[in-house]
Amino acid sequence: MSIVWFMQNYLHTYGWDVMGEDFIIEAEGVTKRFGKVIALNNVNLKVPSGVVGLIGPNGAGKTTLINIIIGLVKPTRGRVSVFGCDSWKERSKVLRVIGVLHEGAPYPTVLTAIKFLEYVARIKGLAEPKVEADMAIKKVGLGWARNRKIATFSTGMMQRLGLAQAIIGRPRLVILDEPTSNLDPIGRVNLLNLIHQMNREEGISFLISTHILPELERIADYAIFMHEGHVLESGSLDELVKKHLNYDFSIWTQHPERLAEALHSKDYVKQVNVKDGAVLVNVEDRLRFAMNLPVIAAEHNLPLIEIRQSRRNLEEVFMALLGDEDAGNAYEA
Amino acid sequence: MKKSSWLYSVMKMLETLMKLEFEDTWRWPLLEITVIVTILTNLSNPQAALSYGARLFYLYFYMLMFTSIIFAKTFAASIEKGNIKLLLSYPVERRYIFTAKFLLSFLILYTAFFSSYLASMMLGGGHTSMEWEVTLNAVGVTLFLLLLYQCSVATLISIATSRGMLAAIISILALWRWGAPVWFLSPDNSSVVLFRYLSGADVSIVDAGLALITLLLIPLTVLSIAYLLFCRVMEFD
Repeated sequence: MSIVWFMQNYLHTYGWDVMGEDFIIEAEGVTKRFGKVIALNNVNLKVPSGVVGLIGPNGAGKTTLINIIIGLVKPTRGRVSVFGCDSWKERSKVLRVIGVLHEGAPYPTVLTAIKFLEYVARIKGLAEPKVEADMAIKKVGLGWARNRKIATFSTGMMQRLGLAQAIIGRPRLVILDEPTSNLDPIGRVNLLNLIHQMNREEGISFLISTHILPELERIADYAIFMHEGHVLESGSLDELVKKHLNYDFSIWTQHPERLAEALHSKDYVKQVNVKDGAVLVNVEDRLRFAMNLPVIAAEHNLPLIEIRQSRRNLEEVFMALLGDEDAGNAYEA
Repeated sequence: MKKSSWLYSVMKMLETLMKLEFEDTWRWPLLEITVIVTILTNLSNPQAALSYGARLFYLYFYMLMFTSIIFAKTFAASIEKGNIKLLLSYPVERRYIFTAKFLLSFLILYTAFFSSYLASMMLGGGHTSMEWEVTLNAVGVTLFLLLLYQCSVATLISIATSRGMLAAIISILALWRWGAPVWFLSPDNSSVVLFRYLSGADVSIVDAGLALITLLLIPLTVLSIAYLLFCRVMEFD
């Protein structure tokens, strides 16, 4: 074991982040074929720490990429390194510092939640399995159900249990494959709040694969867009929005053309367009725009129906990346 | 054994995996049914005066039913349901999962069948010609090898099909149709040679040794192929 790896991984578990590296996952020319189907095609990727969204429609290659990252699937070409270790050749080493939640994982329903987590702690080689299991179950808010059989758990409880088994042993990175699928809106919000809290308070990084974007944009710092086995684009949310969305606000009013005309001459407005009944505005100075918009609307007798800020709108970024029609088809599919 | 040693950590890992497998797969009443039915099978044998070798052959057909079903559950159903994928998300090597699953089911079946044999002997099911000690040695070793053979074939079929029900049916058919002839009519009828040697008959140690090697080589070869296939299947290609 190299000294660097030891310092990066073992000391981290005691709260000493002594060797903070820039990227936690690096993929170089990763291709994966399943027979004639190319699931991933020459994927190059650098994932920073934080909450990272892995975004794409069904069949984009997200789960294949995750399976390669955790060493379940061997890439046909290329390599993936996680915290500097080859994910296939040094699988065990990688899995000691990451936790995984698979979509619809078959947890042993005959066991109680705490018993199952104790087994997970033992398999992970933790020194005090009972203590670790207890900590994990409390952290996800399932302490009250610790002695209940998993068979009696609801879908939301099952996802929390999945999160508990992933975070047991304080991993540096937790990979979640469709964590909010099958959850009701309240369950989704609760789970995402929990993820956000663990990232902020404990410094655990999350890689979250999903095709439900609005909920992710609330907590993600960085996004990777995938489509048909390619990485379309990756970057921080702010960067991506800045790069791909050439407007900052969408405004709905009864007469969009008249509002566009009124805004056109203002010096704090860079660009105005009308599209699908909405006025899309790219501004120089957000504060001045926000202060003046109601005044302009009142002057021209244009009641404002809705104003939407386009920042951090992942869905629109994805649409812009694919082109409206393609993205629409992809999401309907 | 030192706690820091490699062997200790391997043993601890196998112990944990076997316990988890036991609690997950051998839930009530699978274990109880296996033990009770094997005992009843032996006791209800209508040919009580059979020799122990013949009795073992008779038991073969009951054993293959249990072995096929249990190994289909242990391997094929686990692959089908994704239990093994879940296990592989933890820092555990494929070889430990394979070993733990095989060992646990093999040991439980061996214990069940051997104890049923003992029970039938104790309850007077045809113990006539041989000494107890000799009989137990002969039956213990032969039963071990027979079960090892059945389990290895069932493991291979389970992994190859990766479908619980299909694996059970194919294993039963394969062991029924081809299993007995392959095992009992192996080169020089190794099982009979070995059984006779262990029963105190006039068989040379060289012949017995060759028979033992033959009877070990067949299942170990099948198991090696099964393991390679397991690794291939677990690449989720």
